[in-house]
Amino acid sequence: MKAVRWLRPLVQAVAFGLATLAVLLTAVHPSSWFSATGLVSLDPLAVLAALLSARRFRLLPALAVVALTLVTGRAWCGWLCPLGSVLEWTSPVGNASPPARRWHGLKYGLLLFLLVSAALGSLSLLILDPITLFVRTVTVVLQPGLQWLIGSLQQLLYRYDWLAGVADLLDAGLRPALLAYKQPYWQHLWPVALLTVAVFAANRLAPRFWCRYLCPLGALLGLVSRVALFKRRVNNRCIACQRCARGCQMDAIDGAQAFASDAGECIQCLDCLAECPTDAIAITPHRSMDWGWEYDPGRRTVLGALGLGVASLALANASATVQQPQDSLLRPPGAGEASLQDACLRCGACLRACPTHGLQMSMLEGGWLVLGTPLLVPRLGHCEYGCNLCGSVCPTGAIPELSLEEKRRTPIGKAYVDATVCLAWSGRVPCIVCEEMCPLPQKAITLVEVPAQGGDMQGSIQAPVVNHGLCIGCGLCENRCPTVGSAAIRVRLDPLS
Amino acid sequence: MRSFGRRQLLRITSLLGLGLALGACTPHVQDAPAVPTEQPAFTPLPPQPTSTLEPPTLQPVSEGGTTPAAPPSLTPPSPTPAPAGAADVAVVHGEDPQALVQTALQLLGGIQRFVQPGYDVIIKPNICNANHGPEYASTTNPLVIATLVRLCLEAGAAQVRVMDNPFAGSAENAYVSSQVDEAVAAAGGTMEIMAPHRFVDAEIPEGRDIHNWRFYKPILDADLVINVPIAKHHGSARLTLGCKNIMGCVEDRGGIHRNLGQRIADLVSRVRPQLTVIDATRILVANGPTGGSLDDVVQANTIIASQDVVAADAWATSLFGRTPQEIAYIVAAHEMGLGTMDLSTLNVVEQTV
Repeated sequence: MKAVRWLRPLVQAVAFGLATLAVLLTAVHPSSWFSATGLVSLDPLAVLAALLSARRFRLLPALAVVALTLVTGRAWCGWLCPLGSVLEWTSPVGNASPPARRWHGLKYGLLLFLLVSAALGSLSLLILDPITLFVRTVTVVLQPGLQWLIGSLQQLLYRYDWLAGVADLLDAGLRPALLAYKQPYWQHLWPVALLTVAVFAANRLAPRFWCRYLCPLGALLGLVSRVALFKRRVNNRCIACQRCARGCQMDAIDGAQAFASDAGECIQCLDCLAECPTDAIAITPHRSMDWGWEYDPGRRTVLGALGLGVASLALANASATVQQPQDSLLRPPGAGEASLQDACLRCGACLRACPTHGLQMSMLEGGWLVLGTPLLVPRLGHCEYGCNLCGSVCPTGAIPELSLEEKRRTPIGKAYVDATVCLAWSGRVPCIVCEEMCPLPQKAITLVEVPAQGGDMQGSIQAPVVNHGLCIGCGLCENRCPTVGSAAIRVRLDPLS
Repeated sequence: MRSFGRRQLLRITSLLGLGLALGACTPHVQDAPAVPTEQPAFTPLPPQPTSTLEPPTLQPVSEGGTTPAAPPSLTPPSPTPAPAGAADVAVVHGEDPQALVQTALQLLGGIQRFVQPGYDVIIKPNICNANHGPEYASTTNPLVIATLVRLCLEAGAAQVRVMDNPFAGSAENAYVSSQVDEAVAAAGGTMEIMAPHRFVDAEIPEGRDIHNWRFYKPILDADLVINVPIAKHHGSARLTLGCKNIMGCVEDRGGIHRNLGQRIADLVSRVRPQLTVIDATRILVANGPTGGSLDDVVQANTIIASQDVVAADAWATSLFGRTPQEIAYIVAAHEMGLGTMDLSTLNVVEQTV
């Protein structure tokens, strides 16, 4: 049993490495299963929530995780979950003064709240799913931070001829998986980073605080674990030395109950087996159901979650964004508000795949019901004319999978010129960058002559006009418009669509 | 109270570093696109009086290709003097791109004039987007590029790298969609990704409007830069040809759009491509620079080659029924003495194969 002391960290490290690499490679091999999409497909909570909200059931690999849990309990949490592993590595050792045991019940409440919200049509709470949290952190925080750091290091090295080779080597090794061809800029980097930081900071209160008390996926797998085949049992060789209880990173072992553990809390790390001086602990097959801990979800938790779900939905539907949607609420090609609300897993695979990083995670731009869904922000990145990756990586089809030809015919919005801001329309400067950029075979931006004004200018200059019959709202014009701040040509939702 | 130890110091520094790194990634620090300033409209300039121009003299230039401090000369540097009778501008018509390139270079006096054994050669085609295949004439014909790669290697070049910095789509994708990747690999050359760290601030001593810009350093350092644009329509510049193709050598292209003609000429004065081969096998006559409709593609079956990028561009305007005087960057480059747009003073050899 001592082997578990090195075997489990090894398995965790490999699983964490593979998961991180899979997320990074989403941008390189989007159609492969070894991607964020593949990782999210393993998540039973995302599958169950999407099943309740959109009645879509596409992620069969998640059944394998449920099957694993039915046999071994929450081994996923103890051995495989990439977020759980990092949380364990960053946790203080020991379990000196754990919070009250009823805190364990929090995660069941959160799980029920999430499932009720899902059943009522919004998957926004999936932003608290550990897998989506992991994908989002890698995509929005880790990768851009590393790209900036490595890029700066490369520039520094490249200044010296004898070190330039190192900079080139870094490039050859890390591009394009870690070094995207463009530095990503995320408008909601700070909220995403702060949520991650909060999850890690909670480790200071107790080891694996998130996994113990908050993780909704852990709660779901915990419920399944109650009927799992293999369970931990303590026999009469126990000398009540307390070592197992003190060392348990999940605080799953109750000294008051003869060091029995809760199958719903035990993550099968097997540390207690290695720790036990008398070999009093065994993980053996049992056909029983483990229920009746003081924090197990009861009537009050269920009613509370139901109430929260209904109340939040009611308030979200009564908020201004529903009555007055913003015209900048541009969605990936073919994706509608409804399908994003109830089928988008908030996993962030599309954010990672989008080569221009124009797809950004929304906060409350579209309201609570669509929190965490992808938004196109053309000023940060346009929708590339030759790209249909967002639809091909979406695990649920919330962004439809369109062929390149279909995608090129699917409008996201329409571009509008603001003549009061446009440099050319002011008559001061010849500037038709938007027309040059328009990627359509027959340009959706045409030119008219306007009188030149100011300075020693005479005659006329060309100014842009958008042909809305052709424009698909890709936003390349808005992205490249040379005005400061918001562009003089801006993509807005098409009132006719 | 505990003393402030090594661990605390490390923790605080790493947290600070992480914070700075994340701060640098938020959108507000992204470079604002440059604003065009006031400049005269694109009014056609009157033709330049030719009497002020000396006939081109093909002078050998010292080691290192571009010598920034050198006074403007009428001809771009070339490694060896042209043999007698060599064309200043070679224009070859025909259907086989490979034969066109070979013949054009023979007319200029052979590739050996430009490539010496052991040379580090960079070929700069136009691979501006990842949207369309080469048949749409928005990217340089891969056969033209591959032929040049082969000729350089046969002449003893140590390595031949091919690169561009697309404005629509990633270089990785554009190299594949343009089919240049495949053709260059088969010819023995290498495709290079123009990685951000290799762009460096460089002086433009002869610049009239801009005096430094961020250039791709390997292009400035190469023994020989072969400029291989595709001739096509372009909104703001009217046509994109050899001089315009040099815009792919710099990082901030948005900023060049302000006073476009002069700034393109300023860039050319720094890069000074020693050989320009304009691919006009297929030309895009409308909706450039990206195109996307075969209706706008004309099979022009022509290659224009010259050591004088301005002269090559000047000839190529005729394919579109235009004159050099109408293209602001050709006029600006001519005025700076980077070449001549007055073809009557040059030995233009036209041939059909």
